[in-house]
Formats: sequence, C-alpha cells, structure tokens
Amino acid sequence: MRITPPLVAALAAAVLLAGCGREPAAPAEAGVGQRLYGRIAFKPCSLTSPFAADSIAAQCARFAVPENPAQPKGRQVQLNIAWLPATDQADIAADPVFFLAGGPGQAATEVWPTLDAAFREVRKHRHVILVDQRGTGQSNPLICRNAKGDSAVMEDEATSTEAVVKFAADCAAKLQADPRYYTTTDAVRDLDSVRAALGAAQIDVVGGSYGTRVAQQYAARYPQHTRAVVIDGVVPNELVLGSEHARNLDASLALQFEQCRKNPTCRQRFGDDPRAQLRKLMARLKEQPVEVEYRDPTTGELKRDTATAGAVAGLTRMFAYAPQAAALLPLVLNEADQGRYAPLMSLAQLIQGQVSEQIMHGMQLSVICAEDADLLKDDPADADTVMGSDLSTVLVAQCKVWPTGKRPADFHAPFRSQLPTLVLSGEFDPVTPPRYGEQVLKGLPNGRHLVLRGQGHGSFASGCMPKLMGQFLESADAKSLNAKCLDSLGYVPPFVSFNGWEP
Amino acid sequence: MKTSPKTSWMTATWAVVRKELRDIGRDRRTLALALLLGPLLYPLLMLGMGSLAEKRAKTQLDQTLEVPVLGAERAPNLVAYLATRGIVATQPPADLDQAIARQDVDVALQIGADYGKQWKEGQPALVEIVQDSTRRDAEIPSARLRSALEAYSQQVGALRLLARGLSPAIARPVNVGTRDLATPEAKRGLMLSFMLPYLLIFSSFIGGAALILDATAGERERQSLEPLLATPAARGAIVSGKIAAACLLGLTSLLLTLLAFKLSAQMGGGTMRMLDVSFMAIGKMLLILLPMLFIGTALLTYLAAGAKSIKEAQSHMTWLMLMPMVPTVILMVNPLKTQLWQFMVPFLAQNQLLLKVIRGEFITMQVWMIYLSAGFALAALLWYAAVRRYHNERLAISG
Repeated sequence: MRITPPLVAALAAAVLLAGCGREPAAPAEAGVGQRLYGRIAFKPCSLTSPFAADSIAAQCARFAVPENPAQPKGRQVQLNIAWLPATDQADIAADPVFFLAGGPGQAATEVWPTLDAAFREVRKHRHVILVDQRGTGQSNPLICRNAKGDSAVMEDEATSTEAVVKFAADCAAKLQADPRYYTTTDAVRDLDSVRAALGAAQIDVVGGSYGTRVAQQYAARYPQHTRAVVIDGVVPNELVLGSEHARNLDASLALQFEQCRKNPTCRQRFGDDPRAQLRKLMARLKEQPVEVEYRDPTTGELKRDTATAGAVAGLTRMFAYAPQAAALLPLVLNEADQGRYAPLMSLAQLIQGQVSEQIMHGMQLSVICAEDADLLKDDPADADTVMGSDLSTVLVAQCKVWPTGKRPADFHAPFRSQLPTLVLSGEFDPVTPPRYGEQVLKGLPNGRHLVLRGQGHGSFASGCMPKLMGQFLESADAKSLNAKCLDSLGYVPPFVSFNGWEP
Repeated sequence: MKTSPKTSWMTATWAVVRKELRDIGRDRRTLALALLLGPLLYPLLMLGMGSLAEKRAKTQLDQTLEVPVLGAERAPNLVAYLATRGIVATQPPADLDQAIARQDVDVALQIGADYGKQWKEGQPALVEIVQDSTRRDAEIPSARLRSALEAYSQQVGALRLLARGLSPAIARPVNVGTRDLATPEAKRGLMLSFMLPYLLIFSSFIGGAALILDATAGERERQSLEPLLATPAARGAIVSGKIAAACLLGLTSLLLTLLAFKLSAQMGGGTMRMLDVSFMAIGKMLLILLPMLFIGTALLTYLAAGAKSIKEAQSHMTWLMLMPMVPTVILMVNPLKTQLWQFMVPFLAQNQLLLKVIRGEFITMQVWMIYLSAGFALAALLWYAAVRRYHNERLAISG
C-alpha cells in the first residue's frame, strides 16, 4: 500500500502538533500525598470550626516569611496557608481568590468552615487561598492568656486601668514575637509573597469586616496583581477602628427593635420600647450586680457567676451582628428584666468564649495600636450608648505599653481605584453600617455597592449573594450584575416565645 | 537459486501482506473509513461531551420557583422565609392532586392544619411536599423546596436552643469530615474512565476487521482464494501475511486515533485538556493495545475463515463489538480491587491498565510481564488456530 497524499498530510499535521508541549493545567505532583501549587507544597487537611456543621477538605502548607522585613535572615513567621482547590476540574481560572478574615485577630482558616457554603459558586472555577494573617490562627498567634490559661482581653476580675494595662504588658513580654511587625501593612506584604510563590500574576481579594481594610490596602499597594475586589462590611480607610462602634450599635439596635414594635404580638409581649427596657436593666445591674446560678451552655454543668451590666452589653453587641440572633434579643432581655438571668448568663458565656477563642488579642493590639489608637478620641456621644466607651478605653490604655509598630503616611487615605469592586453592606450592620460602603464607593468608578435588606455584619451568605459573588468574580464587572434577586431578602421576625417567632 | 525454507516462508508472507494492502488500497473509501473513522470520530465525541458539560458551568441565578401552597395562611413566616430563598407561594388550584397528575403543577406544599399549634408547643410542625416521584422534572424543584425547608427547620431549631441558653453545637455530637487523598490525575481519570478505555480497546480489537473480512471470507466468496492456496507458498505464510496486513492497518488506525486524542487534548478546553497525552503515556497505551490488536485480528481471521461469505463473517461482528464492553459494565456495577490475575484476562486487563495510564499511576514491571506474556500468548494461540483452519482442504472450495 502506498500512503495517499492526504493521509500523509494528516499524519504530518498530527505529528507536528503532537510535538508542541503544553503547560500542565494543574500543579504538578510533588512527593507522596503532596500537591504543588506554584512553589508551595501542600498536604491534605481538613478545616473545622465549632460553629460549622461540616468540616472542609483542603490542602494545607507552611510558608516562611521574615518577621521583620529589614532582617530577612532574622526570626521567621511560618504562615499557615490553606488551599481550597476549585471544585470543577475543568477550566480553572488563573487568578485564585484570597479570603481575608476579620477581627482584627481572626484566622482565615478558622472562619472558613462557616463561610464555605457561601463560596460554593466562586469555588467552582477558582482556587481559594486562606492565609492565617501573621499573629492569628497558626501563623505565630499573638495570644494573650488570663490566669486560667484562656485567650482573653484582660483578667476576668480586672476593674482598674492598671490591671488592664499590666495584662497587656505581661502578654507582650511572654510572646515569642516582636509585636511591632504584626500590622496590616506587614500582612499585606505577606499576602503578596504568598501570591508570588503560588505563581499567580493576579489574585482576587475578598475580605469581610477588618479584612476589608486588608483588601483595600492590598489593592492599593499592588493594583497590578489585583484583578477584582469584594469587600463585605466595609471599614473605610479613613475610619479609626473602634471610634464609632458604640453609636453604630445603638443605631442598629434601634432598627432591630423597630421590627418588634411593628409586630403586634411582639409589641404586646415585650412592650413599646425594648431600648428603654434594656437601659433600665443595665442601670439596675450597674447599681447592683446579681449573683446568678446558670447552666453552662455546652457542658450543662451548674455554674455561679455575677450578672453585670457589662455582660448584658456584650451579649447585646454580639447578638446584633446577625439578624437571626438579634431576633432573640427582645425575649432574652425581657427574661432578664423579669429577674430571670440564667439564659442570659449562659449565652453571655457562650459568646464570650467563642469570641476570645477566635480573636487573638495580641494581634488585635498590634494592628490597632499602630493604626488607630493614637487617633481614638473619647466621644461624649458614646455616653448613653449600650457599649459606652469601655472598649476603646481598654484598647488605648493597653496600647500605651504594647510594642507599637508604624503605619505608612498614606495609610488612612481614601481607597481610590479603577479595579472592579463589589461593596456589600447589611442594612442593620451594628459595626459597619451601609453609609461606610457609600463612602468607599466614591473612590471606585468601577465599583458597585449592594445594601442587603435586614442583614447584619457580613452578608456573603445572604440570599442569592453566593451566586452574585460567583458571577462578579467570573465577569469582573460589577456594573452589569443583575442584583434584582436581592429584592427577595426579608427581615427576620422577632422571637415572641421560646419556640420562636409566629408560625 | 535455492533459498532456505525459512526465507521463502518470510518472502511469501511479505508478498501476501503487500498484496492484501494493495487490494484494500484500491478501495479508497473502505481504507479511509477504516483508518480515519476512529481518529476523527472519537475526539469529536469527547470534545462534544466536554463542551456540553462546560456550557452549564457559568453561574446562573436561580429562577424564581412558584409553588402552590395549601394553607399558606397558617404559616405566614414560613412562606416569607421561602420567598427569601426565591420560592414564591402561589394560590393552589382547587384540585391540587389532579393538577399534579395532569402535570400542571410540578410540586406543591401543604401546611398541616395543626401547624400553628404544634409550632407554638414546640412539637415538630407538619408540612408536606406534594409531588409525583416518578416525574423526573419534578425532582429539582422538590429538592430545592426540601432544602429550603430543612434550612428553615435547622435555623429555628438552633435559635430555640439559644433562647434557652443552650449551645446549638451540643445537638451535633459528631463532626464528620473527609480528607480526600485522590490525586487530581485520578479525579480526572474518573470522568474518562468509562469512555476512553472502551473506545481504544474497541478500535484496536476490530481495527483490522475491514481488511481481514475481505481477505478471508471475501476472497472465498470471489473464489480467488483457491488459486492463492494453490501456489507453492505455505498456508501458514499466507494466513500470517493476511493477519500481518490487517495488523498493520489496525496499528496505523490506532496510532492515528491516539495522535488525534493528543491533538484534541492540546487544542480543546475543559475535560480534554486533562488527558495525559505525553508521548510516554501514548507509548504505554500503544504497548497495552498491541496484544489486543493481534488477538482481535487473529480471532477475526479464525472466525472469518470458517464463513462462506462476507455476510456470514460480518454476523460475528455483533457479538464481537460487545466484548470490550463487558469489563466496563462489570466494573461499573461491581468495582474491583486491582489484583494480579486481572492482568491476564483480555479486555479486563486492557481496561485496568489503560486506567492506570490515564490516572498517571505507576505500572510495575511484574504487571507488564504478566500482561504482555498473557496477551501475546493468547494472540499466538489464536494465530495458530487460524493457521490450522487454513490447512483444512475444504476451505478453498467456496459455496
């Protein structure tokens, strides 16, 4: 048989094309059980959280960065990194998503299990990278411990400013770290080192709460390496952290309580003015704290503690973050007002335990002392608020002894960028109200601000937001998003009995 | 000039090979079909599958789902919650059950008469999803409704515990996680594991069919076999020549198919990009499929030699085409753990080995030895059987 000319041509073409190699679509194999992403070798791990129903399969790695950038050979921080490979094997985008946690002091790998479901669309075609910000999680955590050995802001019985300050000084002395190098600016530099090591030319930065500050700083310092930005519960660069929190919380509570006033059953059950009731309750407890016997919310053991105005304020503050929890407030506060403090104490303990375990106070001090404390001023308007000025007073006092780093001169300059940016705010957010999102949007010609009805602090998971976020990261075009589906979001009705809201 | 019997045997074989190839070369259409069908069709098939899958990949917003709700007034807050999930309650038709039977309604929700009372007393309050489970298009809306209801139930359950000062976490004693150690290569292989081995085994198994049917049963039908057998050439040499020609044709077709896969993997996107198409992998696949090619061709020769016409010979093709499917089906129903004996069973062995190559797994020398010796031994056996059949005198006389 003689091979006919068309056949020869076909064969030749096949062989020629076969010769040109291609880049491997996915990272190459590295050792048994290891997977390489860029230069970083990952191993299988699972991310768990006490607050999430599922644990999340991921790839984990360590990545060393110098603690002090001026001394590359000095002490290293072993950053803890998790890589969540895209769930669809086909068509994985070149730009991974970096998720930036809040706090300051929360670790991305620890909050992720509660957020994973909200990112299911994003994860289909994009890898997600979680970097525990230096000083949090397992990246050399700056943890301050009380006498019991628990992560804490101060000793439980601390009443004097001296005791609070001493707690911070003792904590700093015990740390195997130089707390001056745990600021947002250091974290942003770490993120870019990780990006470079992964071999990604561009990344998408997605941040919530304090993570929005990190996201804005990253996008401002490395615009060429940023493809798109999503910020949820926005801290404008101009804002001094902690400065308006007390007033924002009260404004949010007013909106929440209005929900109860508008609901006939709730109004009948809890009266016309839950805010007045709360004020009365706190005044009474301030006057005379009450000894309470209650059950531990997790172990069920009987405990004895003092119900204070501070406990009520802390609980109210934390419950206001999520509208579902806020729906419980009228009921729980009413119970306490009637002299039944046990559920309130259980919940206060539950929340306090969760928050202090999750937030590394030392890292929080490193950030706030360098970036905000010197700008924090006592505001007389905070006097009649639920929180008062206690929180910022503690921080400012502790910063006096905390080894304090520096911030760049333009740190608080407004974020101005051409980058496609999606800005999210919850209508009832007690920390970062929608007006902050409005403010940041002014510097973003390619930005879009979505205010989510009835939502609190953090709206990634609300309604069709997961899908919208998926679409935005696909198109990197905020303007063309069809956000009509958010109209279906509604308000969480208030609890009118222990079995919930009206059927 | 006297030549050694061995040389003349070889010369005769080679002459038959050339003759058979020239014969089929005259029939351009058959040749093109035999050579190019596989290389053109299979990559198209795979590309098509890939692009179908990718069409769905863009994030689509959920459509609003309209669900007739019977007794919506008993649970206004539940209805409001469903609306936040894009599930809108509509007025139910008077005859709901009939409407579902008529397929006017995919899925409906009925809220129990005691819903409010049960809710307030802390009893599980009854809601029913009404659907016809045999209707496939009702599955998606009903799953969406169910997941929204479950989320609602979970949320309120957790809040009820909180209201009593209990941590919702205590109602979830065990947290079950999964740590998946599969390599990305193995995951890719999963998608292709059903299609690709079958296609490759199939094309190597019957790749030489067009030629061999024509060269055996066809020649007998045309009564041109008789003069060929009357030549002084050994019958063994004649059969071997025919088989060798068919093998050459099959090999070319196989090579083209593999190269076409490589080509489409490089040009195509999605699923196709994930095929391991390095020359190393292609070489291994070729080595795996080589015994299959010999086995298939020898078997066909044996069968076709017994047939009186092409038509009769072609009737064997039906069951032969099913053979490569057998292990795939068995593996689908009952996944086997890899064991050494499997590498001796034709079709199963090829299937397993091809999967290993696709997954980028290492194949030990022992497995190669077992596989290749078993494969070539079977091919030699069938070859011998075909040669024996040609020694039968009746063969030369047609009809």
